[in-house]
Formats: sequence, C-alpha cells, structure tokens
Amino acid sequence: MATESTSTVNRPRRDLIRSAAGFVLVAFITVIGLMYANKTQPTLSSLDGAKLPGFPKPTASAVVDGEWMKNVETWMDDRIVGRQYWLSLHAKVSMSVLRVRELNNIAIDRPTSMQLEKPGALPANPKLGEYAAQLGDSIRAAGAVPLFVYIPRKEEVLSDLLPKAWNNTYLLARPSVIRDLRRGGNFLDLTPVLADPKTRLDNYYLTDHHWSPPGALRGLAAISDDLATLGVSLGSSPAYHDVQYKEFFGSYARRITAAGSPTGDDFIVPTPTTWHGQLCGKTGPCKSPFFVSIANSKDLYANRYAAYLGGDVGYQQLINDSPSAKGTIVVLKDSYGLPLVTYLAQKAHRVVAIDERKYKGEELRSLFRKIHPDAVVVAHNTRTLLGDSTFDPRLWVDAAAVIAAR
Amino acid sequence: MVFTSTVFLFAFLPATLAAYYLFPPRMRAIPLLILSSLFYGWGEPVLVVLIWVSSIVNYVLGRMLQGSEGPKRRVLLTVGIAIDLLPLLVFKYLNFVLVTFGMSALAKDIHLPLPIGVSFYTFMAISYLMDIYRRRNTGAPNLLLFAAYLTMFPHLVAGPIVRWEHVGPQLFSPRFNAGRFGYGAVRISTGLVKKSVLADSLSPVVDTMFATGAPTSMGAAWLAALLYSLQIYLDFSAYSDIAIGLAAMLGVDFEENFRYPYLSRSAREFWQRWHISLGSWFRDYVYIPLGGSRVRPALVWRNLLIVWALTGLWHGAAWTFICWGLYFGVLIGCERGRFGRLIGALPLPVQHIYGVLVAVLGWVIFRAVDLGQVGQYYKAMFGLAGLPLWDVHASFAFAQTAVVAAISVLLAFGIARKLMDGIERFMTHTNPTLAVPIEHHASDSSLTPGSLMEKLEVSVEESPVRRVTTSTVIAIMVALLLILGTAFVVSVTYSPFIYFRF
Repeated sequence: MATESTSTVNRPRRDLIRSAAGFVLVAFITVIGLMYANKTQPTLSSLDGAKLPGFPKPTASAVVDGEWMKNVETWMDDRIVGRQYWLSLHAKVSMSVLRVRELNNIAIDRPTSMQLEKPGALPANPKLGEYAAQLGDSIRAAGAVPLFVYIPRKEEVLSDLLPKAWNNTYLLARPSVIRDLRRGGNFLDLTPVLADPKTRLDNYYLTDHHWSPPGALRGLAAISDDLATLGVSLGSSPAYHDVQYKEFFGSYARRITAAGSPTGDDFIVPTPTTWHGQLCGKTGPCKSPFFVSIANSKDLYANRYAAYLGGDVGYQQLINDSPSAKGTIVVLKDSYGLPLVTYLAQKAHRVVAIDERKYKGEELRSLFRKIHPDAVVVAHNTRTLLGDSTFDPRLWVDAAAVIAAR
Repeated sequence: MVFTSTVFLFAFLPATLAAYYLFPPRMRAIPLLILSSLFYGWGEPVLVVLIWVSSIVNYVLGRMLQGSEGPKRRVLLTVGIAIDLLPLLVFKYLNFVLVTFGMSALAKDIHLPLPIGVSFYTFMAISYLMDIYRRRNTGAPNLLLFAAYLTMFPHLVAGPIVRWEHVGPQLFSPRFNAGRFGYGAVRISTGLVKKSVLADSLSPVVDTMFATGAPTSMGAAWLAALLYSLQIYLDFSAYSDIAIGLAAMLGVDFEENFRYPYLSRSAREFWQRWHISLGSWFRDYVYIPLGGSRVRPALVWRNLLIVWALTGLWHGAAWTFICWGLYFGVLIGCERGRFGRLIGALPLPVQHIYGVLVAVLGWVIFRAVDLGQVGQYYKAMFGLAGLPLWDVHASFAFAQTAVVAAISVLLAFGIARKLMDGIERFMTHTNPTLAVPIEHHASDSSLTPGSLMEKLEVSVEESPVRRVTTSTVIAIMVALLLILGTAFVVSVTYSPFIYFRF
C-alpha cells in the first residue's frame, strides 16, 4: 500500500525525468534553429571561398514552382552554425569509423595518403587537333618555336593507386589528346618525367589536384632541355631554398574536409634569394610573383597554391632584368602553369602567360607578332583540354568569337 | 519537406512543437492541420490543394454514409472510392496504361508530377470510408479533425497508413505525455542515423551498381542485391521510426510498421513484418472482401494473385513492380500448401536463410530498371551468365560498404531489439510485446484514448537512482545520435526517402 501511494505521488516528477531525451532533442534543434538568426554569419564559404547566397526573397512565382523553398534549403544548409564542424565530423566518421574508401568522389590511397579523384567523362573534342595545327602555324608565322606540352594528371601517373573499379577516363582520352597536340608541331610529354618511380609521389600534392613545386620544377627542366634542342636558350636557374608555410589542404581535401584527410600537405616553396622575375602590369611597379600573404593565410582551407602569380589570370607579364636571364617565352597554360611560369620567369628575360579560360585580349596570332617570342609553350592537362567548360581551344585561332560567346 | 533536412529539423520541427503545445489539447488539431499543410506545401505548393479537396470530399461522403441506409450506402461508397482513386489513376498510372496499350506517342506528351504521398493518403481515405460503411466506426465528428488526421505530417508522405479508428480518437484531445515525448526523441534520433548515416552511405554504391546495367560478376550481382536489401530496409524503416517518433512527441500513438523483416522464415512472415500497415490494408480491404482464404483453393489463388498484383502496382506503375507483387503472391500461395509444410520442417537456421533469400531475390525485381535487367541479375547470381565469380567492381563495392553493411546487418537482424524494447518499456510504461492487440482494444467503444493507453501500461517500479541513471543515459544517447545524424544531414545535399516516390 505504501509503495503504491509513493508511486502515485512521485509520478509527475518521474515522468519528467523520462522525458529528458525529448527535451534534449528540443533543445538541440531549437538552439541550432535560433542560431540562423545570428546576423554575424559568414558570407563566404569556408571551403572554397565562394560567396554564399543571401536569404532568398519570396516571390509568388518562386513559391508556386517551389524554387523559393529549394533556395531556402540551400541557404539553411550553407549557414548552419558550425558547418565546418559538421562536415569534418561527417568525414572523420565516414573515413575512420565506417572505413569508406571513397568520399565525394575522392579516394585516399593507403598508406601513401595520396588523394585521387574519380575521373569523370572526358568527351573528345574533334576540332582539337585542327586548332592545334593552326596555332602551330601562327606561332611559326611569328618567327617563334612552338612547343606543345602534355602535363599528366596524378590520376594518370598514379593510376595503379586508383580503385580498379574506377574507369580511368584519363588513360582512355590520353592517346587522342597527344595525337591532337602533336599536330601543332614540337611536342613534349612530361609523363616519363613525372612518373619516375623514385619521385612520382613527390611530384604532386597529396590533397590537391596540382603538381607540387618539385613536380613543376622537374617539368620546367624537361621543357628547358627541349627548348634548348630547338635552339631556344634560357638563362640558368637561381639557387632555391625551401620556405615552409602553413599546412595546405588542397582542392581534394577541401571536398572531403580536413578531418577526413590523414594529413595535409607541407606547403614548402622553393624560393630564390630574390624573385628576379617580377610580375609587371601595364602601370605601377613590378611585384613578386609569389604572394606570401596567400601562402600564409590564416584560413585552414586557404588555396595556398594561388600564391603563385595570385591564381588564374587571363594575361600576365613577368620581366626579369637579371643579366643571367635569357629569352622571351609566351606560355599558354592552365593552373598547372602557375608555378611553371613563376619559376620559368626566374631564368627567362620575359614571360607572357596566358590562361585561355580567362583571356580577353586580342587575337593570339597578332599578339605573337607584337611580342616576338623566341618560343610559345602550350602546356595543358587533359582535364582542361576536354573536361573544362570554360576552356575552348577555338580561342587559339579565333579569340574574338570565343570571348564574345562567354 | 524531407525529415532529414535542415529546414525540417531546425526550423519546422521546433516551430511545430512550440505551436502545437501552445494550443489547448482540444484545439491542437488546428496547428496540426496548418503546419501539416505547410509541410506538404513545401514540396508540393500547388498539389497541396489536392489533399485539401480529398479531405473535404471524404469527410462529406463519410457523413453521408453515416446518415444513409440501404443500397444508397453502396453507391456512396463506390463513388467515394472512385473519387479517391481518380488522382492516383491520373497522376500515377495514366502514362503506364497508355504505354501498355500502345499509345506511347501520346504518353510522351503527358508530363504529370506524381503528388508526394498520394498512394498513402488515398489508401487512408478509402479505409476511412470503408470502415464507416462496415459500421466499424462512426467517422470524424468534424472536418477539422478529419483533415488533421488525413494530412498529419508525420505519416503524410510515406506512411505508415494509419486508420481513423486508431489515430482519429487520439486527435480529439492529444495531451503531453512525458514518457512518450522522450520515447519519440529516441525514435527520431535513431531513424535519423539509420537513414542519413547508414542508408545514405549504401545508396551511392547500390545506385552505381544497378546503373551499370548488367552485373559484371556473380559477386557483384549478389552484393548489389544484398546491399539494396539493407538500404531499402534502413531507409523505409527509418522513415517509419521518425514518423512514429514525431507522433509520439505530439502525444499520438502510431502502430509499428516494421518488425525486423529479415528475421522472417517465409514470404508470408516477411509481409507480417515488412510495411505492416500496407499488408494489413490489403488484407482488410481487398483480400477479405474477395473471400480471403475461406473459399475453394482456386479462388484463394485468384484472391492472392489479385491482392499481390495490386500490392506491386501500388508501389509503382511498372511491370517490375507488378511482377514483384506476383512473385510474393505465388510464394505465399505455395507456402500455404505442401511447400510451406516442407519449409516448416527444415531446421530453423535454414528457414531463416530461405526467408532472407526470398526477400533479397524479390528486391532484385523491385530495384531493376526493367525485366531484362532482372533476368541478367538472376542469371549472374546463379552462375548462368558466364561471368567471373568476383571482379574489381565487387571488390570496390565491398571495400566501400563493408563496415556500413556489417552494422546494418546487425541492426536488421535485431541486435538492438532488446535495447529498443527495453527503452520503450522504460519510457512509456508499455510493453512492446503487447502492441499488437492495440487495434483490438481500439475497436472497443467503451475505451477512451486515455484509458486505452492506461490499459497497455505496465507497472514497472524502479529505484529512483536507476530511473535517473537510465533516463540520463538515454538522453545522452539521443544527443550523440542527433550530433552524428546532423553531421551526415548537413554533408549530403538532398536525399529523399525511397518510399517518397510511391
């Protein structure tokens, strides 16, 4: 009897204790929900620096077709408090606990920690060879030596580390791309240099899709040697010493987040005593081609690779007035060209770098005639040539049409 | 709106709980109807009108049925069912019918969106009318309550297919029940993790394997079938977990929709454990009216094949779904006879293997793009396609999913069953093993919803220390599951539940 009455008296309190889990849930979702009202939220993505869209304004048509709701969901996904923490936890649990081998199309090879991307579709461009041939003609017409350079992606050089079930479209596309580039004239395939078993893991970043400075320097050495055999001499390279910056989490690591990466990359930059090859605009003083502020960014996910030349730009000119520098080189390049051009400028008197994806200038054939280069180096990787919607090889022969179509 | 989305978890749900409990119990149908409409309208801003119209029409027809006698009742029921089925026929089956009857050209010009959840709420509306017709209940006392019942967001888009006689009376005056409130949080958090962590980790691998068309090896074919079996169970049962949990937090009890289906020992038992609300719906409203099993054997076969063809068709307008339904119809028919006795005589582990095999082979038909792919998979699985035993695709799929699959298998085979039953018993004072008789109790008109719950309560006396400790442990478990689930929800942009498309 006594037990029964105690039980009845204690019932409300006892039940409240039992509801603790419910109140934990309510507190959790309410606190996170209320944090959306915080007006000091970041406006840039912590992963790629892209501008985050603002809260969508509801319009009748956007509500009726559901577009507004989708935009609100995107806004909420982007702005959730501690987004970086959630993404990192997801990556850590997926990689370390669930032992997932591939996350967001990135696989991490064990034990090298090399991150590799699932190769996507690389549809052939039937006009690539024709445009390369015409570009070669334009270069020769300007009295310069053309050199078409094939830069392999790490998924080609390290294809044996890729999950075998992944269809390696780079290897499939490679023969036709090389055949097309050869139509431009002199051709250099950097694959043997970068695939050297002794150095191949050193030639690429672990967490980024680009080649590393040692890879770029090895590529530059091979290009210099080839140009020399074609009668174009460059100056000697200065002595470099390594300068280490903050840890680098490249584009692949950003996709799976730092917590999913066993390790970031050591961002070590071979640096001369003085950067003699300086970045010179049309006005103002020339400046260092290496942006220390970017390399030293406090942001964990900063794209430190953009410290070379400040990132992708359509047209840049580098001048080296050092007496040891020789030759004028035009380089048509993608982002692999950033360290390549930076280091090339330390041994060439003048380098003009053109990124076709962002170029807005005059026709290349008339530009070559103005610059009178000794050589024009066209250095690209397959992803740019076949898998980048912002790259159109027609720019090599008809820049005006491509620029107008952008 | 998807349960596993930031907008639902961190905006809709807290706002809904606050609004719901701000209203007095007798008026809680008002916020429930408004918020459920918002929930549905978020994904279907125009087609929300369809469910409102369905609510009005079925409520009015229910009242008319209630007040009429004689042959008129049959006419009213027929009209009601026809009206209920019309949107389903138009939105879901029109293209399939046109293609089947050689009018593919016409079908290509018809692009109708499939209203989310139409198959679920249509069946709820039909059962409502049929139960009034059979005088099993007196229907909703007012339109507000009926509309709140039909549109109630926890079950709206993917079930369970609840019945008015069970849920309706609970909406008269739903009260805060501390134990059920806590238990609801447990179900929501476990459902969130089952879906976002486990099912969604299997999804890309399964999708890739089936997208490649024919399997590349015997191992790849079996892996694809097994992984999909786990994925669909985790995905759909997670939705039911969250639905049941949400209802519990709102003070409403839903019946269980899953009881560890992969513990089945036969096709028949599988359907007593899988999507229980759909199986019982077809049993009560199609199979039994056709005569059920109490007719001569040939007619039993007819009834079975009709019911299972319709069950398949309910899942989608495609021949694969119809064949999947018939596959179970034939198996269940066979199990009623000598074959069933033969299976029953086998050692228990062998019976379980048979039960799992039946389900896995069935899911191949369900998941395949077309019947051609079904054939390719079956040939590959049984070594008739001349494929290697194992290949790199199988290796990669295995490596990618091994841990997730192992955890999923343990969950699917009831490793946490005792734990979950214990939590339910502790928090709700009810014994989960008594849950089945709920509908029998509910049909007892002398019982109010409150007394129904009391009748199921189990007297459990624990020491205060144990009570506090257990509650704290459960609360911490919920917090950890929520943190884990949120990490995966935030990281995956959009991942609707598989049963959304039905």
